[in-house]
Amino acid sequence: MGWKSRSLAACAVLGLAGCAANPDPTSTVFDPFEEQNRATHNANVSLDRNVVRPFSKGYVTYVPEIFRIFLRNVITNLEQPAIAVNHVLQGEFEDAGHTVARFSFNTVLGLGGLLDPATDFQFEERRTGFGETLEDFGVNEGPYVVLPFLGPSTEREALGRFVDFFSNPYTSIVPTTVSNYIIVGTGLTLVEDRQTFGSTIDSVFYDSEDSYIAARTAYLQFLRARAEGETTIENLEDPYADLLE
Amino acid sequence: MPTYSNDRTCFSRRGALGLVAGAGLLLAAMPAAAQSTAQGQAHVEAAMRDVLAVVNSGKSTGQAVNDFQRILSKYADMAIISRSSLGNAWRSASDAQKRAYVAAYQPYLARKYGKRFADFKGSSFAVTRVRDAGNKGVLVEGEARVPGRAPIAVEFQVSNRSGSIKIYNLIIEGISLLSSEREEIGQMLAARGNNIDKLTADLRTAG
Repeated sequence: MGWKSRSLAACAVLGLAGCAANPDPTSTVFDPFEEQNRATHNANVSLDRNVVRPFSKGYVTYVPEIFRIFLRNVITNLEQPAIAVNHVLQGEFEDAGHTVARFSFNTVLGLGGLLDPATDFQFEERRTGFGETLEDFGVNEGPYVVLPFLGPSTEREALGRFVDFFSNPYTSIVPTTVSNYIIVGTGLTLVEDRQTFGSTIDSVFYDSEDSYIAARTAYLQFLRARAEGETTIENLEDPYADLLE
Repeated sequence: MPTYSNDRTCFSRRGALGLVAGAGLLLAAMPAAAQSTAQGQAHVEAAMRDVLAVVNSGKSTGQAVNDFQRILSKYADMAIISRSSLGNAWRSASDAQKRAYVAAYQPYLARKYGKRFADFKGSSFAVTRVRDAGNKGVLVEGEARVPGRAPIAVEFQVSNRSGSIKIYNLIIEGISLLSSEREEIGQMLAARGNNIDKLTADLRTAG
């Protein structure tokens, strides 16, 4: 897909708001399921307080760093083929080649993905997923939804996560025992993330007066920035302009 | 960083509309001509040096928050950031209410973000791109590198429209400080029946 047709598709996805000058990114929240979402959000926060946060503290404290790094490297490496496929679907062939090179490099020289020498040779991870592919195909982001355990999403991104999970060859091809280990391993990397950005997540979940709004605002801005690709000057906020009014 | 290609911007941004807008921006930018992209970059680099010195000092959260508040008033236009956070309610506030709000909001913001510093110990920062943003000043893009993590994209909006060169917005992975603050403060104000005095009083202890 050439940039022109893709850009037109992007315009269609974003609607007029995305193309208008200086839109307020918080004014375009589509949250028809707010009541249900808030209930799920509250359940997630309570699960975090009682289980995930204490468990992640224990994981990072008691499990040696070298094990955590190896595990993260292996899990990340296993995800690369599916990421490369998504880059191809998005027409991003340079990113696809880069990702294939990264995977080959780490699988062979990184001892099956335990190590990550690729990053040191400028083959850093370029993560994407089926949600972003759908976005490229012109699928609207859809209403905001809060997923149990996983948190903020939209209908399109939730579908993307679902497809990502089942399109990962290691969750469907290999014997169940092995894929179970992979699922547990993936869970442990998420647990580690919870601790790595502990005080940032704490401040959204526990310090914000309305943590539901704080999480929703941050997530939707992140998603739209991804759709935009890079920050455009037209879309930058201009608080000084109000002074002149 | 270059995970997302640049070619996803809307057609209008590259086409005729972009040209017209560009010409308009050029005219509007005339008074700000003295402000160069190099100055913007130097300002952001100096600010980030000071921030990272605090982040990597291993100081207690309380001390870090105090230092951060000093850094904010030195490098950021806290007047415009405070004003923007209140959104439309700013217009209807009295002068006394405005002064009290700004005085309460600044330390609140420093507490709120200063507390997160612990997550970024060992980080470094490098500017990757600087763009002239016309009458919006200069957009400085950079990467924060946190050990063992993917780099974090951080952008700074810098302008001299306050009279001296200051940072007036921060965008982390696409999440704008001004937008997030306006949304959250707006929610807090609504929860208090749009009573600014009540909001100001509560901000003194919040964050």
